Amino acid sequence: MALTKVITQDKIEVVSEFKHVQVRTKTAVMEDGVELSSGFSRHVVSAGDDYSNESAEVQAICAAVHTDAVVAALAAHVAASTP
Amino acid sequence: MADVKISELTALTSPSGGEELVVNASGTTKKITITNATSASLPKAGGTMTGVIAGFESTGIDDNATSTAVTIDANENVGIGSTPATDWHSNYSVLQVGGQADIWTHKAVGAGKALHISHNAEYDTGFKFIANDEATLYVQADGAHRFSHGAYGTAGSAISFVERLKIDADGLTFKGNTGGAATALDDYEEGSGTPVVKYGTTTMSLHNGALARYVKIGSSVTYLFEFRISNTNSGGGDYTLALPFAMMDGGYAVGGLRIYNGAVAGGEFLGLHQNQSNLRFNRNRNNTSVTSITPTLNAYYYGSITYRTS
Repeated sequence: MALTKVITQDKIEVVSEFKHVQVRTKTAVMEDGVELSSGFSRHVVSAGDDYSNESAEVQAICAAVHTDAVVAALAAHVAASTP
Repeated sequence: MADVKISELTALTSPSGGEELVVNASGTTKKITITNATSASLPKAGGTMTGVIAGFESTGIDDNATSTAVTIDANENVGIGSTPATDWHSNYSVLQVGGQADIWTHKAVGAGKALHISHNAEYDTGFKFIANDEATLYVQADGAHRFSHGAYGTAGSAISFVERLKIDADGLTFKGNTGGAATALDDYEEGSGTPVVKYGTTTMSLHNGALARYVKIGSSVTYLFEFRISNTNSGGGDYTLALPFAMMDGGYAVGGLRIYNGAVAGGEFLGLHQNQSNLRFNRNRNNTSVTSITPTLNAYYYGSITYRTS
C-alpha cells in the first residue's frame, strides 16, 4: 500500500487572438495505482512571458504560437490599457 | 366377474398409484396404472415442471402469493404490479411500474425516436394526467436528455410539459433555451494554488499561507486570494497578480481589495482588462484615470474578482 503524488499538466489550451496558453496542472494522490483524490491549479503563459521554466510541451506550444507578431500585438494591447 | 361399465366404477378420492384399469380392445389387453396416467401430466400443485410447453398462453404472471405480479396486455404493454393503461398510443411499447410510473419508447426504429420516462402522465393522442397531481417527464432523443415538468392538473386532463433542463452536445441549457452553445453551461472547475504576485516583471516573495482559489462555471471565473509580501525582490512597476484564465475579449472587470496593515490611499481596487491574464492592483487617481498602488511589505492583501473567460 504505497501512496504517491502524481503531477500532470492534463489540459493545455490556446485562447484568444493573443494566444494565451492556459495550463491546468492536476495533482493526484494515488494508492497502488488508484486515485484517492486530486486537485487543480492553473497558470497562463502570455505572449512575451519567459517560458523557459515551463514543461517541454508548453515550451513547444509557446514557441509555435507566441510569434513576434503576437508578442508585439499583446504588448501594444497592454500598453494601450495601462493606467 | 361380470362386466361393469366404466361409468359405474367407484371413484377413488385418494389413489395410491397401484390401481389399474384394464381395457380389452379387440382381444388386446392394455393396462393403465395411475402412475402411468400421472407421469405424463402436470401436477396440480407442487412438483417440478420440466421440458418445453408448446402453445402456452396466459393473461398474467402470478407471484408466489395471490396477486398478479406482471401483466402483459393485448397491446403487448407490460405492467409490473398493475395493469397497463389501455389507451397508450400504438406507436409505443410501454412498461408501466405501479400505477403512475412509465417507461415507454417507440416501437419503430429510426431517427427522432425517443425513450421516455414519465410519472403521472400517459400518452394517447397527447399527454394527460393519470391522477390529480403534477407530472414529470424525461426524454432521451436526438442525442439530448430533456427534463420537463407539468403543472398540477386533474386526472385525464391534458398536460402542457415545460422543458426545464436539457443536456446535449452544447452542455446544459435551462427552461427551453434554444440559443445553442452560446447559452449553454458547458464547464465547471475548481482549483487552488499559490498566488504569483509581480512588481513589474519581478516575482515577489510571499509569506507562508498565501493562497488563491478559483471556481469556473461556464465562462464565468470567480477568483479569490490572500497573501503577504515578504520581499519585493527589488522589483518595480505595475503591481499585478497572475490569473488562472485569461479574460475574454470585450469588457473590463473590477474586483474588491482589502489591505490590512499596509499603505492605503483610498480608492484601491482590482482591475482586469480584456485579453489579459494579470490582475492589476490599482487605485483611482481622479475621475478619469487610475494608478498602480505600491506594495507594502508584510501587509495583508485580500481580494476577489469575477470575470469572463473563453
